[in-house]
Amino acid sequence: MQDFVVLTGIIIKSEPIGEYDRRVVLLTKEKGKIAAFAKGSRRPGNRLMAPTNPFSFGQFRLFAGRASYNMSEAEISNYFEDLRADFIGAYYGMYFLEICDYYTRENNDETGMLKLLYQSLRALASNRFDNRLVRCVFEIKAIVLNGEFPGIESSDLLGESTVYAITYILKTPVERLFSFDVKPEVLEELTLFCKKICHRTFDKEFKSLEILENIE
Amino acid sequence: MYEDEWNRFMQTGQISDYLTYRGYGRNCHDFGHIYSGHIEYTARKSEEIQERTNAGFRSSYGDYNKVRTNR
Repeated sequence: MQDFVVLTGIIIKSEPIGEYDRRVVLLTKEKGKIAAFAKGSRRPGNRLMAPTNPFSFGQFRLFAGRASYNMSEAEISNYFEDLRADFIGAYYGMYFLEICDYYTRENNDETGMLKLLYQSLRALASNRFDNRLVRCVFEIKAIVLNGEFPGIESSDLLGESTVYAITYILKTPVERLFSFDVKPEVLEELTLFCKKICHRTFDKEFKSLEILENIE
Repeated sequence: MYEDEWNRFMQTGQISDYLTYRGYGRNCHDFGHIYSGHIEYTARKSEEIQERTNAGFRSSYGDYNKVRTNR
């Protein structure tokens, strides 16, 4: 009898394999980032067709094969339909997924990143926040969660409100992170600060960011 | 198919694929006069960045081509 595992997570990448299958990368609460094969998920009418799309969040039932996980069932609680309806939001979401793919590791405790990703996607979908603010919050918090935040230097020349906003992002738990708004001038400073720390921290060019910056 | 189109957009990152997903044809010039403001805006953006069919940022076969001797 095969041993099944039920994992809570989100699909961060999906690619076609063979004629009817897909290989997906999941960011899960229990096992960090893992890859799994969804056999037959590209067949018309297959029950895994929608759950194996990026942004699908829910519970996934997997069994361990000899060399990889295979997906047998999925119960999706949020497809982020609102986010898919807005193409700029979708690009932001794509960028967040790419950062998560870059930052997370297999069999590592990635609960913080998963929570951050989920809350950030909800904030993008809600339209209550400026997308640029959501991006700044996500970038700063992701860097903090991975222990690479360089701190605020006096040479950054940030205003008092911006420093307060950054400190708030650093100290607030992810669940309550999206509960504030900032003035346009603070957002400008915050964006420049994020650009600087991302350039220093990430040793990779994110393709989705390139597209996003072309579009905006 | 609906899910396939979304997946393709997530792989290529192209606005033309997004428009296909939303059901407005593969070519951004094919909408006629019936599209809404949002789609018009999306199509204009696609033209602005001079998107081409092969300008996608990810291979549709992901990392798998890298391990094959594809000469």
